[in-house]
Amino acid sequence: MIGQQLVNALMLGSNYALVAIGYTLVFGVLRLLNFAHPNVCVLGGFLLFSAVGTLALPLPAAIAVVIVGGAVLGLATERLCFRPAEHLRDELAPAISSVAFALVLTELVAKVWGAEPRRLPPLVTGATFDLGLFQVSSIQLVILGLSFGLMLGVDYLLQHTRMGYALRAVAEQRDVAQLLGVNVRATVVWAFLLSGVLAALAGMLLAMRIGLADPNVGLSYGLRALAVMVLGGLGNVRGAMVAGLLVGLVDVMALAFLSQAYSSVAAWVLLLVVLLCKPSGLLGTRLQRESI
Amino acid sequence: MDAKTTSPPLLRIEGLRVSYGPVVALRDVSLTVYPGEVVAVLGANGAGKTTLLRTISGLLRPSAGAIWFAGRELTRVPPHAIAAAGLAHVPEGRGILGRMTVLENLRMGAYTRRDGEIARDLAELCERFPILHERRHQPAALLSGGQQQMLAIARAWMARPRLILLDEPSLGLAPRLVAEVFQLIAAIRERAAVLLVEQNTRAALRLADRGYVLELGRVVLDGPARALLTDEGLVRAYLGRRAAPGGAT
Repeated sequence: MIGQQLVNALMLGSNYALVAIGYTLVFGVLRLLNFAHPNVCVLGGFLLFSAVGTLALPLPAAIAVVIVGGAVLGLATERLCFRPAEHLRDELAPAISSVAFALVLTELVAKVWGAEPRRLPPLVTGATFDLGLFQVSSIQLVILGLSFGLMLGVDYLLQHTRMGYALRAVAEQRDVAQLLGVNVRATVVWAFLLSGVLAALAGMLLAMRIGLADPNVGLSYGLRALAVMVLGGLGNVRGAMVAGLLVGLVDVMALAFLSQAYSSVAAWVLLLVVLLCKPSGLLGTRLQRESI
Repeated sequence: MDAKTTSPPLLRIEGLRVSYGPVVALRDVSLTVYPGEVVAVLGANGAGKTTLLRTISGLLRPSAGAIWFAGRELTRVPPHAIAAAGLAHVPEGRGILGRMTVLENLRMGAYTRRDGEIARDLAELCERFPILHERRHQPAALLSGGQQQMLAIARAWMARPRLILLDEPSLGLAPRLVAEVFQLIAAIRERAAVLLVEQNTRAALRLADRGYVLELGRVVLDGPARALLTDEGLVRAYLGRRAAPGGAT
């Protein structure tokens, strides 16, 4: 039973983590929140639905569709909501226009797919593996593999690639990054692209997990992911990963051992407690507090 | 004039004017740096020295005037492209990326480079700065002020620049470290020209070939460093009473 809950917690938690990493990447380079982010998740789920359902594509091809969709939406968010306000040095205008973009995306989903959740066809057929303590189905293995693969991939990209160095340098000191030769505008565009792809893939994984493309998950997952971002330490990608898994664990365990009502507040209680004890978040350091 | 000043200037600034809103920070500033030279920019706080460096590296836009670097006009070029053209700027306050490790900071220095000798240059710096080598995997924010200054200069060095702009490299350092920083600048001049902004007027002029004195955003005095060091007005204004011509501190 505990083992089974652990599998659920890992799937839910990695989902939160992936959404939160997307928020974090954009927040890192711009110090701004992208409110259209959760809507890209929702769209990720519906793109999967259309790709495997309507178009009857095999799963790898469907994943490619979701990736392209997420990239396009990420780039569109930057171009439509954030770039035009670049010179304003205003924090409200881009945030508000991302809210507007979120509304447009919500309506788009309702127009194209309807307001009701849509059931996905079975994606992976295969055995369920009995590992003694718990059982893992093939689809769960696929979800866990993709989720953790993505997290490791993002971490590698940030720590070891030229683009990762640029993203981290811009997040820390924009002027210094420029003096070292980093093209800040291009880096911001990359952050949005990456953030959009991660959001769409997170939405896809979420839909795979619950077997539904659901237009209503945006709000709850969006808020949870914000909490995860703050919990991990603002602008800290590894923090977001750890915090996402932790919140997933708390959610699932509260649901299993307390009740539905407790499950929805448990994560927020955790956030409050952590912020009271360590205002910079779990992996937030003193340096981090200074640089934000 | 030196033999080296007969070659075309590496950096040439003409009639530069920079404003922050209604406040004019630099007016009609002209300045040249020749290859291999160390040029000092002196002046009181608020004279416009930092503004001058930030304008050269593209962080600020001039409202009038022009900047040429290595034969190319840079007046409207963005900072990252100026860095790629071979100009490294060690900003006021050192500009260390504190959350990145010492080694990552050094690698960031070579961000614009595509050649295969980055690893060799890193090894050379590690040999020159054992303390940076020793602490290479620590976040750079944990270094002491002096070590951070060494790192900032070493990082600029990693770009293999043709000109390094240094903004107050000795600020806030203990006297022993100040001497070390000036030794380092003397070593840099073997391979790159230096435009040096310093409060430590005397040390800067001893090292420099030429100097410019800024006052309220204008160049009020310029000439060979030796002449500036013995200039009566400058001695009174910046070097303090104890300074005799060419005298020791």
